[in-house]
Amino acid sequence: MLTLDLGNHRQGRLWLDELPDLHYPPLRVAERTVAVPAGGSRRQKAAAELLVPMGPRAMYGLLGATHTADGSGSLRVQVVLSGADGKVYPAALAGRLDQVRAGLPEEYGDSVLAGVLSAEALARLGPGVLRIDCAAHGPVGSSPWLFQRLAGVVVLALTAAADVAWEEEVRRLLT
Amino acid sequence: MRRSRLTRVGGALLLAAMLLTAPTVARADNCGGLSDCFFTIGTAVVAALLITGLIVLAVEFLPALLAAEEVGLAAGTGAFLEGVEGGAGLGSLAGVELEASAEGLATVTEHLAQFGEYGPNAAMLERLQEALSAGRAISGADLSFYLHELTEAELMGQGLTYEAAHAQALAQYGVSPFSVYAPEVIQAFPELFNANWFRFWGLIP
Repeated sequence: MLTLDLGNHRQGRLWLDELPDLHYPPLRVAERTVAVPAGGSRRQKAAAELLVPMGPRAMYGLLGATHTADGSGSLRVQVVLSGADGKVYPAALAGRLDQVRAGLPEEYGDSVLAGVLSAEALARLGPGVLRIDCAAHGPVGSSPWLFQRLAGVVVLALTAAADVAWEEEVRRLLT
Repeated sequence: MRRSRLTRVGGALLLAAMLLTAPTVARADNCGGLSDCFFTIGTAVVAALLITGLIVLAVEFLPALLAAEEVGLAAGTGAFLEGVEGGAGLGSLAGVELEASAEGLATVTEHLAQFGEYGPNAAMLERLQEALSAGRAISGADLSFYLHELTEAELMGQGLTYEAAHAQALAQYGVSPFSVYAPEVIQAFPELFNANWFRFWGLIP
């Protein structure tokens, strides 16, 4: 796991080739299939967690995905959605700023899909199934905007070289 | 409104003290011996001290009690989220009005700059500036935002981390973490707020 100092009190964590234990009971799966050029992700699994303090509140979210490559010529994106009452995640970056729980409430489904489909690194992901079934959210700090950005960070984490300037890249995706 | 209620309750307690101590002091005028006089006067002094203590306690804790009572009447009465720092609704700020100062607004603006640009903060600062220019008192979310940021700035200035200062600022006024942005601002930036914020302000069922 990588720890990121993103400046302005912002913090991040990246899991590369691994996922935090944040699976949750699925409520439904939002799915979209898009054509993608041949290619392949650099790693099968990745997750990203972001804490973005803004003064009166701190935005928070965690998202993780598994990419299983195939020769189909298209990418099937599956976003596993849940209720808001998953198990508490005490190790979250949000600490006592929020009561973080495992899961991805339905209100964030469209944002995650939009974030994946608009990710600049999507073309490098390659055909297969991208399943997003690792997530944590805060009742105060989570927002559709942050989950859309997190989706972009996860696609980057699946496709970027290990020696990329992670802090700089993530900071750029947050603007 | 709260001040007048405080005065009424304080007055009632003072009257009770006078009624209770008056007969004892009156008896002291007719005491049979010097030791009896000392006993009755001593009793009166102790009773007066006890009642004065009660008045002091009432004045000390009454604002909190009244605030808790008024939470149910304030707009934005979202329930306390267990495990999240902060209180319910507008906490001790319910029903309170205050005029922001130019100095306070400058402190808040400077403090917020360290977190980078954020539309909802800019919108809240604009609301405060408008109120200041118009000489209008602030209340509700505007007051919660203003006092939260002033407190947070002061605590971070003393060396506390953002996390500690933020939590302490919420706890100081017993406000809900959802009380710090006005409903109009939340509606103007829907992608930056989840359903809990809308629910808190009664914008969705």
